[in-house]
Amino acid sequence: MADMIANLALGFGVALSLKALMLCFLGCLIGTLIGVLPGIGPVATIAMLLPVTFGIDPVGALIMLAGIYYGAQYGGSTTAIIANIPGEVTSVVTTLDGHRMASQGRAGVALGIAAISSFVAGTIATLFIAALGAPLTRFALLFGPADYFSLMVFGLMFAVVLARGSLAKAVAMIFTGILFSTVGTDLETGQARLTFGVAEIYDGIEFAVIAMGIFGFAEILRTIEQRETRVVQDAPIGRLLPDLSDLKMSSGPILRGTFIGGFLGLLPGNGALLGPFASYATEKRLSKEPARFGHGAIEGVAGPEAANNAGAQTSFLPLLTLGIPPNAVMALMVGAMTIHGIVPGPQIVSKQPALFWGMVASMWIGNLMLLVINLPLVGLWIRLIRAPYRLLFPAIVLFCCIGIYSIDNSAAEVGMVAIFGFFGYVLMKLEFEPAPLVLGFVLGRLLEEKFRQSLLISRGALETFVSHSISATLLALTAILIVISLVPSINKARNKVFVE
Amino acid sequence: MTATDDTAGAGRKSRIKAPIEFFGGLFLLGLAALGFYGAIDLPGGELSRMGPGMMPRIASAAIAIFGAALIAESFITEGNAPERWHWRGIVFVFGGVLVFSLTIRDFGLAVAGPLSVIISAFGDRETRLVEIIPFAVIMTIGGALLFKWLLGLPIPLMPYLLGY
Amino acid sequence: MSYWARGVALGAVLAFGGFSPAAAQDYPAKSVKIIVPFSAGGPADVYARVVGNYLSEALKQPFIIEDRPGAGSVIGTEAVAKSAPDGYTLLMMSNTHTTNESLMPNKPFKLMDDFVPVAPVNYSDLVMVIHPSVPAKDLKEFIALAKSKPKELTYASSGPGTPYHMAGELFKAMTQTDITHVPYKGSADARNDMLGGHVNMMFDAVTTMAPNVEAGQLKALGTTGDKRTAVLGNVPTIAEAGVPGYSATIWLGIMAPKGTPQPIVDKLNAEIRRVLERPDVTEMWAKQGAAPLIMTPAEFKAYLDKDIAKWAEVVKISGAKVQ
Repeated sequence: MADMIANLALGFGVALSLKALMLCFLGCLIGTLIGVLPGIGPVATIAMLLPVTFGIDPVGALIMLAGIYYGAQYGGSTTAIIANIPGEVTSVVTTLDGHRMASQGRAGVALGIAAISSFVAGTIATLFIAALGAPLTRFALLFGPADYFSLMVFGLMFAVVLARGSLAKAVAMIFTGILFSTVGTDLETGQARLTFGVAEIYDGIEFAVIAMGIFGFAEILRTIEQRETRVVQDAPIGRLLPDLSDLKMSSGPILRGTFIGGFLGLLPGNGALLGPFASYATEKRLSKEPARFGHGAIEGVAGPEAANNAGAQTSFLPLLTLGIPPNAVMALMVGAMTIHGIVPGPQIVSKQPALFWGMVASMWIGNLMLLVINLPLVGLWIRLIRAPYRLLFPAIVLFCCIGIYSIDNSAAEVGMVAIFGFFGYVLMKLEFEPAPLVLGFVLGRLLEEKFRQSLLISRGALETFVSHSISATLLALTAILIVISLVPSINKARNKVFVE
Repeated sequence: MTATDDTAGAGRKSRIKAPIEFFGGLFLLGLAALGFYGAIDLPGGELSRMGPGMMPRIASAAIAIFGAALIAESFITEGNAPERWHWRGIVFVFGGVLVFSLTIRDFGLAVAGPLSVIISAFGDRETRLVEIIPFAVIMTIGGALLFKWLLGLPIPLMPYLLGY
Repeated sequence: MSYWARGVALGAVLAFGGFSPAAAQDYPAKSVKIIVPFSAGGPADVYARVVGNYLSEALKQPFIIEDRPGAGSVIGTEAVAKSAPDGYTLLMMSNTHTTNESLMPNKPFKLMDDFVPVAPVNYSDLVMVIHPSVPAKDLKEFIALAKSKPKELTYASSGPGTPYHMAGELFKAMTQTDITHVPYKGSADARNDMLGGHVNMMFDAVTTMAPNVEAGQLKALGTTGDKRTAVLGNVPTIAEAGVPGYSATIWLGIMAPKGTPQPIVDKLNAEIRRVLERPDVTEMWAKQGAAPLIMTPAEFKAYLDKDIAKWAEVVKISGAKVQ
């Protein structure tokens, strides 16, 4: 405990210098901006800023880049809530209830609770990292491909809970997502799969293209239609920020979300992706009125947002303690560090304590800054979405086009957004939900990769999935969950039969 | 596959009790067929030594099963007819996106930007030219400022005139 | 004002297809685009930005880096092949391109037919590591172990056709061992399973692996260059540790579309050489495990031809292919 306080004091000593604070603020500001803009993500921006960081000391450079990273997470939730466009996998869940709240005139409350839960989660995650981060990453190394495969199977169960309507249709969408995830060159042989000769999808379909098409564009068309077929009353402005009862409803979800997201974030290979989905599923299961979920339940924003931010925070640990970057943004940070001659790895905590603890402290400062930047912006966003829709949506279309183009400087990917937008429109008309599809898309790729890696390593022995204890446990849990969720519906079906 | 003509079909007391599920099922079957077709030349291997074609086929087969189930259900359980399609929005909004995609490389943002805003705006019936043209120009300038100058992304502005 | 006038004039010239070949002393008269056919943030992108930065300074025109990833570098490379050969569109290329010549025979261009070599940029060595649970003290013991258990040992790579995979295949071909290849998407995933001991062996960048080797989490058996590396000085090269002649580095270079005027190619080569000779660049790259690679266009051409032939041989022996 005394150690931890001394360490944090060292960290805050580094992070509270005027220069560090300014860099942190700058990073958070840039991050928020690129997070809000659809399509373009932190990777392109950080790559561009790398030469700029040559001139800054390594701690300062990292503090700024980290600020961009979690600033983008924050900004991404804003676009998810106001325009139904999830910029990252992790904000898909936020669209479900967050955008619904916005269309009910509770955009301010949704944005506010997103900011507050992210801050609380960030604070707890910082303390968590300081207290027992390092030993926990060793646990993450125990996860081999077989265990990871079983975790993905377990994760697919969340999609079932995610569904608002028909279970069968939700599962069909999971498989559709898995099918989409197989598009592109094969991991093992390098053969092109399901590309139909289109070179642009040889590396797989870009997540942002799918998400923008089936969430963002389908939503634009839905809104235009509603304006035509019925007189839409402008939703009341409502409160600008969450009140006490909102906070009370959100406190449980925030704490649980922080724990879930923080834990999953530790797993290498971007386990943080699962956090928001897991948190949403948990809250919906625990809720006394699960029917409210998907129709603007504040818990459905608070929990996943907390999980998202906690995961973003703890996913720094595999990077800082093992040298393994869990995602593309972190890989770039490794680049930034090596330019300064620091290579992240097992000895960084002992060899570079100022850097390590300075980063940990700056995480908390960054979260505070994001709260300060974002709460006043809530008013601005609300004014923005109250602009006449006939002007708002063409502007969204333009920014989506520029954003998608900027990801790979590819005009063809812009065209693909139109195709997926149309696909999303058909899904909407046929009452298929897009969220399980996205989950299937994200997990499907890992599912196949890990399955095939496991079997390559075990030389084709399928027992590998039960002989590894973590994998076996996860598979057993999945089986139990399936049974539990089937039992009530069997009962219901039986009752129905009897009634008829 | 268009849903517009089936509201009439439902009215004719067809045996399909839930047209939306029926069309949903057809849609899934189509998707599964596409998946099988795309993986036609890929070796499947076996479960313990999976080839590139295995996963697409498993996914397609599952989609097909759910599609068939939905169609079967549509003859048994009562359900809704799908809503009408709104072609105006589809044509103009996606038209705007496609025009952006076709013009951005050769003509730059100066052309692609306003065109995509104006075309997509006509997806809504309230749109008027006098309002949308200046708006499109302002938004394009805003987009260029944000993405090109502030974030420094290499987006072509006016390749013919400026060379970038 | 003159900037605009010049831009308009140049635009007009370009639009009507004329370009005076005597322009080498005026080159560059406008911004130059370096297309990187790999993802933003990868080593090719990062090094391209360094070179681009200094070239902009020296030649007083912006060198713009444009990442156009896709189809294992084919999309961006094809875009350059189709650009005007005027020196205003350049290609950042790597050994992915020389191996792709034999891995992807059906791609829409031929490297040596559609491009002219301008200058190499730098190279980095790889290191071969094993998990401590593998019972081998040095490279010779590892080779003996692999020979006694064909197919039983595994090695991780960041995907089929990558330099890391090819380094492994070269090793297998030269030592006549049969080690099972376990592909990953990207080296971070692979490193994780390497550290956890789920796979036995891996080739990876020296700098990223060095801390894990120093901490005793992994054992380094050899580096892949012709000389020992500065970062892991006590680790022998694979060639000296038991596989004479073994060499597999990752390198980067710049090429231009076929037909680019020779004076422009020479001018670019000279300017790039000046960037590579800067002490601050050398020092910065040394920290990242890369060393400048300086050659004339003709030397670079010979280097490329030799590399293409070498990997064609490895691809033939290993049977690896893409597409």
